[in-house]
Amino acid sequence: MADPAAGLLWRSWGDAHFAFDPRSGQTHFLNSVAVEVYHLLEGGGLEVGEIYQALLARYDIDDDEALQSAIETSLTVLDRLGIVMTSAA
Amino acid sequence: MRMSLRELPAAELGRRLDAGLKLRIGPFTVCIRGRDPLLADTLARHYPDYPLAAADSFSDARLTLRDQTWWARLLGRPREICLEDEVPFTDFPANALLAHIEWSLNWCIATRANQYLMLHGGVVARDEGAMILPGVPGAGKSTLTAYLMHRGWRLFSDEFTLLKTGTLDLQPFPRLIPLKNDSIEVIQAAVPEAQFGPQIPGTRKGRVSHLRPGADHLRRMDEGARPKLVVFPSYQAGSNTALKEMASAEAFAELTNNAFNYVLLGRLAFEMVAELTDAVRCFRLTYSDLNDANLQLQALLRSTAA
Repeated sequence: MADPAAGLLWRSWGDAHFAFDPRSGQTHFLNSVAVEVYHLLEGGGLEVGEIYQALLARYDIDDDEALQSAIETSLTVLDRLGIVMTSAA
Repeated sequence: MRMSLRELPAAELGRRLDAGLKLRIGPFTVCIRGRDPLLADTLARHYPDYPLAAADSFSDARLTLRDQTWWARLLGRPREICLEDEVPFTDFPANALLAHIEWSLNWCIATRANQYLMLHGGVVARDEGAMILPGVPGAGKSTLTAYLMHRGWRLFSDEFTLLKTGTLDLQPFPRLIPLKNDSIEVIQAAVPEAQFGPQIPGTRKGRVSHLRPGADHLRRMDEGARPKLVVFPSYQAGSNTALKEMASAEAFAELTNNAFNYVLLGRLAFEMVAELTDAVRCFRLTYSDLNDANLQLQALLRSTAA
């Protein structure tokens, strides 16, 4: 789930999104998939499969390997930035 | 009308330097002390049009040139500048005093003036508005700023972009422009009327010579301006002038990387840089011909402000 303590500030221009983390003073550059994933996780803890299904529904598309891979990459990035909390399966 | 350093008799300059001479440089009061005759001579030659500040005004920066015995001078021992703490901040040969006054002041402002968002970039303005020229060292921003200052643009700074926090108001901070190495000859050839200080060889930035801003720029140093353009210059020998508009996201990312105190100001800086990005048009400029670059930048500013 998204770390509720992060208190991120957002600015977006087109497909480029910037999140300012007041705890670290760092500004993160994120793509649209990462931002979608982050906002889904703001609603609470979700499994990777649940995120995938939610985004398939949002984009109204069938199975998409590229999307699945992008979600996994986004989760790794968001975790490394310290703005989501992960739990071991 | 505030009295300028030029109007101070030599004996009075010496007396004030003994106690602490206070100069207004942009929005800051700088207190300079020292009994060394070299200091009085350097200030009189290179800062004549800066206004004097009241003796009881708060000093944003204090620089002291340490006293030296006559034999230390005779032996050519390095001069030393101290800041508030009286600990030597920098030492240097006598002929490099001007450069070290400027660098010491840079350090004071860059580390303390957090009432401003400080971007590393020049600023010049015309009636239509201001243009910010951010860039890494060596990009050619000082050379371009120096040229534009002599061609109808008002000098705000060649490397400190000061934005009052919570606003997009640019604050002038007109200083001597330190030109380095080949840039000295480029401006000497392009602007024969430019008023240069001595050439100082062998500094950590190579050969340096300081260009003095004219009195008109200093007289208007309390007049702010709103930014209209952000232009990232890049000098490339032999290139044609080219202006390429940047995506806002790209400009925002570069501006956040160009600030002296972005991390320190945190949320405020993030919001200010975002507002700045939305308020201006951003370009990359490649140039080698200063005159052509000036003409194209003037036209761009006019069309942007229209």
